[in-house]
Amino acid sequence: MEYTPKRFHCPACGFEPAENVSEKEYAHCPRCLTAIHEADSEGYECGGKLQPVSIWVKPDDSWEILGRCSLCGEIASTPVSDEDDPVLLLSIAGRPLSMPPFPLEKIEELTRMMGGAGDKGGYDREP
Amino acid sequence: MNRENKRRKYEKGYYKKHACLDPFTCKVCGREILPEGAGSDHRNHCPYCLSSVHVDNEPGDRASACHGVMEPISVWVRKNGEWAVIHRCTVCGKMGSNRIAADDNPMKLMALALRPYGSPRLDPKRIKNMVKTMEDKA
Repeated sequence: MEYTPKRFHCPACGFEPAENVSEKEYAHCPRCLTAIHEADSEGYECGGKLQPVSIWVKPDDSWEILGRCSLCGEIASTPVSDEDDPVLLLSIAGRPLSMPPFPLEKIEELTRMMGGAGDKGGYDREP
Repeated sequence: MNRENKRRKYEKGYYKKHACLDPFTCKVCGREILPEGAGSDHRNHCPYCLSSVHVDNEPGDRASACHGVMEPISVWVRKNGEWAVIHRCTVCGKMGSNRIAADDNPMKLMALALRPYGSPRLDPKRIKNMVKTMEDKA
């Protein structure tokens, strides 16, 4: 007989929803945002942990969490839900900003070079 | 060189072991892109608009028949602290991560990183409450 757990249990952080919350499907753990990589893009079973790596802002302004599988390295996305930890979401979104690949002075220099009127579409573009 | 051309054409998985040093034209912005200046031998996206083309299933195998444009959707920080761009194929939806190159447009990269902060899903009221609770707890 196949065993199917009724309540959600996160294998990464051990999160379980509170007793009074009705059962429902979770795309990923709302506390640590880790999901399970059930099957890869070719349909083979994987079972690795999808560690949250980044946020994808879709054109319709909904968010998806991009996870990277710890076993096969594939990238997959799960939609953000309302229960997700907002602090963790923001920290994932801000991680690249805390480690810029170029010195911050260079950004300043670039902004000055563009003068807000470059062909990149500056904010206060002069007519 | 003739022999090298032949090998490039007929050897399976040639680009898995050899760097691709051909110039290419970006499918999205139409600029001519040279292999020099990337800081590595593996230029896999346009340094101006950061888009790529879905030609590989595994790095360098040139086995994908999709050839769709892969748009940059996000950036992330790898374990060693360098950035990588996450690309998504506009035709088949396959996602992949590519290291940034030395001459990638820094403005485009910053804009990608700042995208979540510019979206209306971030409710300013909620953030204000969050900050308030953080201040109260400290």
